[in-house]
Amino acid sequence: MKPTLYLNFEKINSKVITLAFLLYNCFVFGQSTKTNEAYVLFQKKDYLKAAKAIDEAAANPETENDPKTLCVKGFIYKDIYKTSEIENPESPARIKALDAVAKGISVDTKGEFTKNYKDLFWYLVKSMKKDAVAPFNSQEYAVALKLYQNYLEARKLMVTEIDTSVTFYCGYSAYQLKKDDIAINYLNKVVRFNYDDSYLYFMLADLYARKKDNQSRKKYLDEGLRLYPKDRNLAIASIQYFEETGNLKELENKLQSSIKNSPKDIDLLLKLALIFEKQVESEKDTVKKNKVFVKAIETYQKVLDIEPNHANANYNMGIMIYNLAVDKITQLEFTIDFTEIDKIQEDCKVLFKRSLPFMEKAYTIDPTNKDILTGLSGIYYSLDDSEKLKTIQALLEKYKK
Amino acid sequence: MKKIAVLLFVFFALSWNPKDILLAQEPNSANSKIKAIFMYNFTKYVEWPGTYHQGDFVIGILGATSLSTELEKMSQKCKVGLQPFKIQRYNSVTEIGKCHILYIANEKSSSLGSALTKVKNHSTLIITESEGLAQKGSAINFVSVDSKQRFELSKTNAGRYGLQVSSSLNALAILID
Repeated sequence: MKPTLYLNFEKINSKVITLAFLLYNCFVFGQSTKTNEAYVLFQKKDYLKAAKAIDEAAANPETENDPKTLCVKGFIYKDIYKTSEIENPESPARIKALDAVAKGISVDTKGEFTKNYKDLFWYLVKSMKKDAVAPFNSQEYAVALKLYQNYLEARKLMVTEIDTSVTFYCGYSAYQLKKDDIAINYLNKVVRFNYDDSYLYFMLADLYARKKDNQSRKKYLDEGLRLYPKDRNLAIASIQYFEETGNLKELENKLQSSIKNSPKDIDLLLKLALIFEKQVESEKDTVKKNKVFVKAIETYQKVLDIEPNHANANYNMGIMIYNLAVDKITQLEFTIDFTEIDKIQEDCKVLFKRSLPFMEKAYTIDPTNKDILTGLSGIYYSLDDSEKLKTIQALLEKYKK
Repeated sequence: MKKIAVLLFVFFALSWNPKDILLAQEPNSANSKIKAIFMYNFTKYVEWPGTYHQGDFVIGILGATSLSTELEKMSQKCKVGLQPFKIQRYNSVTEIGKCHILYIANEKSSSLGSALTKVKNHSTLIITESEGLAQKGSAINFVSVDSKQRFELSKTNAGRYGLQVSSSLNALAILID
């Protein structure tokens, strides 16, 4: 599901600013210059002529570095942006306004227009930030990333501290775009500021997984789970890490811990059951093997208690019991005595019968699944039910084609 | 500046990787293993003439059957006394030579008669796996009873080929005669 950004944008009342500017400048601008002419036109909202006049003033060597001229230019282009280009995230007027602010700040050594420049600056950069919200919310991450980057770049003009939220959004967008290095760069910046979002740690872990850097991957998984112990995404990512690195016991402990927090989470329970299944496969000691087998069965049963029609849980339950019976026979020594064989066959028959209802249930839920059909045919074969075996084998042939 | 609130609702469906799916074991392998174990046991309860106690203990297989794989495994692990097993495959009756045991696969059941003729001068234990073949001349015929592997035994048919069957085998077999 797409992430949603709700932006409660603090609007600057431009009328108040403009009025303050006007009153202030009654005292400042006395002489009749192009700047003054532009200002008068600006007051009349004749922005095109005002822009022409202020551009001439800004090009004039006598006024090009005049803080007043640059301030008026900033306001004129800000209003042009506001009245006719506000829907354009690449607004040329806004860029000119910001350029005027940047230059104005550098030449306003006495700080006469500091308040005006600050007001202009915040209005313009906040509008840039606002522009990125819609594409971000609609998952147009390439556009969102570019606009957020523009905002961050413009913001540097007056602010030195990091905007952690927007930096996070840049990282998130780059992550979605699979621009891994860019994403890591942004996300590592915000993680240093303890940005409060569990998904930050998930993304970093995933990014390092993509880079096959398991040390960093584990570091962020551990840190994320320490901060957000109930976070499901981090829990699953952690499980996948242990699964991939082959440390099943550590994985089992993690899973058990996650299940304590989410005892009804079927995905976690299925994963845990699978871990037990893998342990059954690898365990040589019969007693230990049987113990783990029971754990697996109990875990699948927990899934079925929550969701009786879960196809995977029914299938896995059926196949585990069936495979146990087959393994009991195939692992026998050739030299075993007749009398023992009969008992083992009897035990296996019980297991085959026990596996059948689970596999038949899985079949009713997912009747075209070849794995289920194969499992079911194995059980019917073992139980010597030739009629049902024929039916299932015919279906298998049909789906093979 | 008001704080920007972010609500991220990210749901990740945990899809199971196909590698995680458990697959059913091949049921034939279990059935073949049981038959192989039975056959090894037959070597303990059937007595061949003295001239058959030297050299390889030959098991001939007529026709295709998954049992041959298990018998090959058995031949690598076990012996009959000091005699190593030798597994000999035959595609047709004409290929059949001297062997201690001749296993006739289901697909070659119709060849039982000619196979009996072929080995009439040998002490060969003939084993089949189709209904009614013990009555038609095989000494042992595998059958499935109540979902378990069992075998029919015809001591008469075994005796025709100079084979002595221990009475211990009677208790485990479905006796034909």
